[in-house]
Amino acid sequence: MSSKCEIRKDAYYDSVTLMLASGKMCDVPGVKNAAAMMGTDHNRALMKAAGLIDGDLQFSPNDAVIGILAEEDAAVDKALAALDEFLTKKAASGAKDIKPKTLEGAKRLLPEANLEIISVPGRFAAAEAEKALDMGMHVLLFSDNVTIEDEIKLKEKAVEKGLLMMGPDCGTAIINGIALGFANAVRRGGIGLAAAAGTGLQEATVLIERFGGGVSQALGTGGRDLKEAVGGLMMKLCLNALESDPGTDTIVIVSKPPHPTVMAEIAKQISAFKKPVVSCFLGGNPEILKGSGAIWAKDIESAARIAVSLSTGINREKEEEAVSDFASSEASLYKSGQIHLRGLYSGGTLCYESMLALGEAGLEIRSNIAQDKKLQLEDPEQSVGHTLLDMGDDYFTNGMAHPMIDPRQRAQRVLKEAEDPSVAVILLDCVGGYGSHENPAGAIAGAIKKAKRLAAQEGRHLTVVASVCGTEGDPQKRGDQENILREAGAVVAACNGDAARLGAEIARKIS
Amino acid sequence: MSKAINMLFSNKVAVVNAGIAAFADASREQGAESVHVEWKPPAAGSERLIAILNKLKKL
Repeated sequence: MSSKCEIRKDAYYDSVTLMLASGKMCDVPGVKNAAAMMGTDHNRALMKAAGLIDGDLQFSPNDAVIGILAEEDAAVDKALAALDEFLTKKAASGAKDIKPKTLEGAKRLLPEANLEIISVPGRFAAAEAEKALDMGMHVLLFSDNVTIEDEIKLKEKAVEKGLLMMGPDCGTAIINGIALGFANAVRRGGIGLAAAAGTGLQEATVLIERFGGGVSQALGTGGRDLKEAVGGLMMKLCLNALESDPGTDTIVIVSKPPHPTVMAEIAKQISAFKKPVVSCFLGGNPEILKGSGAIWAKDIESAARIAVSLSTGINREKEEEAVSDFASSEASLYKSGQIHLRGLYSGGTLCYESMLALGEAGLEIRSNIAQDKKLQLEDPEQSVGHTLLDMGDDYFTNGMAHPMIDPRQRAQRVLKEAEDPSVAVILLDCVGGYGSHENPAGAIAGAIKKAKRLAAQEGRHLTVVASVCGTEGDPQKRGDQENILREAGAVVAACNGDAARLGAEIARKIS
Repeated sequence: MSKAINMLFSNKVAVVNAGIAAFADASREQGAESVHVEWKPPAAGSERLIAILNKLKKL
């Protein structure tokens, strides 16, 4: 066995570039494992755990760190050559473009620039966002790990200037038909959305398209906006914007329930609106809308159906599927002791929506994002009982690309869950659209096949239920993604809520 | 609606992107003008130097 660690001082690469570069090294025959990462503490721990670096190696968060494990020295050298070839090509491909080093430089190059997308490491993100707001630009702040104090300061400034300050930790927006961050190619139309829920916004827009409607604007606020401390500063601004927007005829809100004082303010605000408002406060009580005049939607799918009906008059009835029969036939195939569900999600809201659907079915679900402390996983690396994981949560993404971009951690986790003899069902989301992995279904298909094979070798039947959040207009095409998942042996549900309900039905049959 | 948001909704989106380069490429693929900033951590990422720079900015 041969290994090599190399540190490149002050060499900054974004997490996607490093993920792709790591893949190039791993593709070299004879390489057992390899990674190139920025030298954060989290990445140090990951690389150390993988045996790629020594624990006492000296480097800083601004250094790129490369670790390679291979069968022989020649493979190590080839991996390094592959890495350098990729990085050189990447630099050369962009060389013809003038790349400014600052926002000021970019604005000189594109004076009409009206929005900045910021996905730099969290500790630098607030300063970059403040600069953009000071220059009169709207902001989509994708970065997480921004303090709530900084968030409040930025949003107060944005509201004062009448600017959108979407985020931090906001992954999704569609402005004038342009998908920004993680967002899908959806038909334009009269439905305007405001959401404190990234993949919730994606799922709502793709279902609106599927049910025959279209989207005017889709605005994200960041997940903490409706907390008492932030006070819904951006949600209130976005809702007023949609109410005044002549291109919007119907408004949809998607979020977890706001803090009661924030909810009271929003209810008062929308009670004066002339346009219909459909509210999907996941896990909330319809009573919270009392006096607001808004329409309650129990989940994202219902919100999309109601909004499309209001906006276009199209009423697409839900097709009833033979869920119960399918669940019974699957349940008859499990070995004794196979009683648990595991969900591995790249989308936080999709994970949360599934937790609610399974909770409604009476299952006790543990999660890294459970709100009830008793149900929080002690160790996100170790599933217990029925467990759903949001693998886009900070724990998994600190120093790593989001699982919607880099599917490696999730693929490994599928195999880990499949090794657990108590597992019967694995639930997965597959999120397409701009910004996401070029083939998210393909990236997880190998793990699904292997997981089913591993279980079969021990005489177990494993059910994998997946759903695709995407459209035919997306770069990945929804139909193609669904076919890849089916060919890998997954059952493909029409939407995330349906996947969770199928999982719940199977769990009911085996309990 | 604020004047700035009205301007955004009634004009083309033109994007500056700092961080993940793929987001700039995605905007461009959809026909939006986009400039990617070759962003690097300020003061070579030194927390001490950044704190000093921030203090200087506030003077």
